[in-house]
Amino acid sequence: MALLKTLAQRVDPASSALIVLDMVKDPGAPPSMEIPRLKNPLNHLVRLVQSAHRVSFPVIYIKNSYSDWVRLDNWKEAWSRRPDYNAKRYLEGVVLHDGLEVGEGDIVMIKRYYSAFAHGPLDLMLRSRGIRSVLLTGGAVLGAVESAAKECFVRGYYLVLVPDCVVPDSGPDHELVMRHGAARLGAIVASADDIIEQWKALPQPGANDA
Amino acid sequence: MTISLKQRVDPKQAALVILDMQKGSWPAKAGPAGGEEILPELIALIKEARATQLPIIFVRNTHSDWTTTRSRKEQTEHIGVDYRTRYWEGTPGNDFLEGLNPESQDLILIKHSYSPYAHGPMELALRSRGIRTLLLTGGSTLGAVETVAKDSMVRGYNIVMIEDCVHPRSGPVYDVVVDYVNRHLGITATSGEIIACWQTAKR
Repeated sequence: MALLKTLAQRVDPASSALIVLDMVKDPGAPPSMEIPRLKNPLNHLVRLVQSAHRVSFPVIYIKNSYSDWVRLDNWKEAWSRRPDYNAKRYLEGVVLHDGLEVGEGDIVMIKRYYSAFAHGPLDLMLRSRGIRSVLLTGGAVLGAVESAAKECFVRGYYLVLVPDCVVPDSGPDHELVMRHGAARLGAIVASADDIIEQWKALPQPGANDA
Repeated sequence: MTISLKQRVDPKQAALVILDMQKGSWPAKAGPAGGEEILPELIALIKEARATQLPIIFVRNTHSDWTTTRSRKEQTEHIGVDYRTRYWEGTPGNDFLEGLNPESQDLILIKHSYSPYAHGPMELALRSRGIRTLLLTGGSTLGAVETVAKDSMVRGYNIVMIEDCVHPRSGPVYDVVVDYVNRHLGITATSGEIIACWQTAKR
């Protein structure tokens, strides 16, 4: 099987998927685009998702979600010490940020901890669809994104990190994850525009749906 | 160290697990859904479980193109069944059988193969709730039920397979599984014996 060395290979709709991590609203939050830390990355991500839909590129939305059925004591203890602890964050039924549309053929799955692979069918889904490369977006960049990058890599998936579609989209956490991803995990770091440019040459079966 | 039935079914540390009781159960083609024959006993057991505040987990087998591996497609083709026939997401076969109605405090857990431990948060849920014993019901006896008994035992959970709440609940396959569970994986008991334990504890 050929190694996936180029961006074009890693964003091929036949063998790749876009993963959107934890882009979910807090209860009572203002419109997503009005939240300063979200405005730019969400704007880029919405454009990326819309372009993905136009070329029938699979999108996997992963939502952090909790209930009393899935909270261990160590989680309760650790989160109770966080200054930003919000008991209502990520409750069951949590919804995606404004502008993120679930298209036909997309999938929405739930995760319970940092890892998108633990306690869920992500590996099964990727294997079932013959996916070899994943484009990682969402947040937090040093939480779910970094965790997914590492776990994808050790399971044999190729990586594309999208620096303008993660939250936060700048700062020390961001720089660390991008640098480590490229240096240690073989990730290609490519902007939403870089990826959309690759897709422009493809047939656009979903263009009328956008 | 022998653990009595009364200890195993103690609501403080047990959960009732209802496996794959859906309209798309065997037989795969035309005909009545499998498992309906156990509904009277199972529904009565659920009612008593709720009265004792026993946690209840409804396991739903669900398939889609996102979760169907090539090996599963090849296997279903091998036995002449369209892999989208049973339990397919968005079809009536994926729904629970009439009379089985999960409530808000229950857990509905999706699985994609025989074992609910694979690809899902089963073990996380059991550990989060401090559950040590699983009361197994549903079907099929040699499919999901035996698989869960084995997968649970090796993870350290105690097992009670409920003899009259699994399907099929008679015949050679049933006999073999009951014998195997009792020799290697845990114990079996009737729903009446379990309900009696709960009622005795209340007095």
